[in-house]
Amino acid sequence: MNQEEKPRSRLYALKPLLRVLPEVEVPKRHISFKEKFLWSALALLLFLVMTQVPLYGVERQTESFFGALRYVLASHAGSLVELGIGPIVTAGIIMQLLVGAKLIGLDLRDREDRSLFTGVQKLFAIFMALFQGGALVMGGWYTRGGPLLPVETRMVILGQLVLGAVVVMYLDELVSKYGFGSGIGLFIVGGVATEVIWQALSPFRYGGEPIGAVPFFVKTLVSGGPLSDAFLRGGANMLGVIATVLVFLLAVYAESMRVEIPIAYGRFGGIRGRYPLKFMYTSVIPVILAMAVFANLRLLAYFFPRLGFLDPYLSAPHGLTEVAGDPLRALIYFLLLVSLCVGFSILWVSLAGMGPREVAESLDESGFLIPGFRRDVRVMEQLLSRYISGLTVLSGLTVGALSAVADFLGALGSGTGILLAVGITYSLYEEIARERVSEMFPALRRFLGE
Amino acid sequence: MMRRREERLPPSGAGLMRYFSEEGEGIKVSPRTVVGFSLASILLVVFLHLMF
Repeated sequence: MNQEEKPRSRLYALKPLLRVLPEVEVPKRHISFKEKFLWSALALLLFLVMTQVPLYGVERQTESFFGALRYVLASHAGSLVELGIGPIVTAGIIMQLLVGAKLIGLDLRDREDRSLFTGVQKLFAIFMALFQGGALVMGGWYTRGGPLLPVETRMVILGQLVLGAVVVMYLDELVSKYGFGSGIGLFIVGGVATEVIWQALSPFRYGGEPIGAVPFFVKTLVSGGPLSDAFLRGGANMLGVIATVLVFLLAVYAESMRVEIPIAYGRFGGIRGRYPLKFMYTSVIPVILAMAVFANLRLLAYFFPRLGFLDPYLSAPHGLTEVAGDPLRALIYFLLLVSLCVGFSILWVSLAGMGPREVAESLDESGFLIPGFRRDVRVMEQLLSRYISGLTVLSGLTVGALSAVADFLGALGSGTGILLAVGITYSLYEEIARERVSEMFPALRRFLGE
Repeated sequence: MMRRREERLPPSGAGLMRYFSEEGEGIKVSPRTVVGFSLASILLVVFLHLMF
């Protein structure tokens, strides 16, 4: 055997299956801004329509199995997209962990391995949809503890859940290839935005009172009722509106913070500049991964009642009243979420090539050095490590703490949802800005990585 | 003035490493097919509600 030939991953055995798995063709030409906008809008519209299509064979569901996690998972109770992005994210996490732990022998620097990784991830997402849908259907979620539905009905419901998850998977791929950002991000933002607007402004009535916090506040003002009702009532209230604005501003501020490292260009007289590292180095990624873990633990706890003791700690108490009612639950949830976020932040940096070594190599290849130090990748790595290691932990810690506190304050559409919506929208804004520049100055496309 | 470089994440969507720019060996479908498939799925469930 050739010494340089690396052993092929066992996953290559799945190749025949992957050959018949459809994939959205890679665009052969530059996709214009207008086209990207249209494809993204169309995908979001289709997703939002699916949220309004109830599952056949199920009585109208209003309660979501995932509780407040539904915003993060873009899940809509009793609809074709009940599973939301859950299967895609779960499959992604497991695959990333397997690659990170070198258990499946894939080298993501290799083109063929990368292609296999993406294909297997899709296949695994379908399997996860079967598992998650199966847990809901077979666990009796749709009959609320009553006698199970006939087998045929259960199969039809499971089929619809898997179909919905597959459609979401392909819409996500469509947006990733032909639109802005990713479908996953777009669907989360779409769901959160709809919910925030609905809870803040809905003039429709439920139990004789307006659903929206603002119409209820106006009604209380006009009728001369006690203002405390408008701030403290159950459901959407003005405290939630204030918390939403607060979380929004905090998240935008945190996303825009940078640590700037002085650098100089090795040639042209050593022109100096600064290399900005985002304070939120891993952005909202750790929260999404942590929430996917919570959602799956919740499913397992539902399927295996012995794990039921975990359930209260897998979702945040919503609002200060709930926190005051059970402070221990709030504390455990907080610690659990923050620890998971820090862990995922560290994992993401090492898996995604954002560690000090990779950044130092990239700066060195571009001809940069750090003033006052000799030009050596190891020296640069050592220096960057001081910042990046700290930022990685701080980023996970901040995003986890922000998310938990935002939920404790009772922000509309869940604190985590708002945090994610801001993080995703911020990244989307940066991508759209890059896209605009590339449209106006086509010569810059190469520099923008297109 | 030196161009300010931004730390760019690898190809990802919500924390997942994906390499959609790589051409795989699967059956190629166009974006229009995906839209058609989504619409057909929606109509199928609506049809089930209307007919049964």
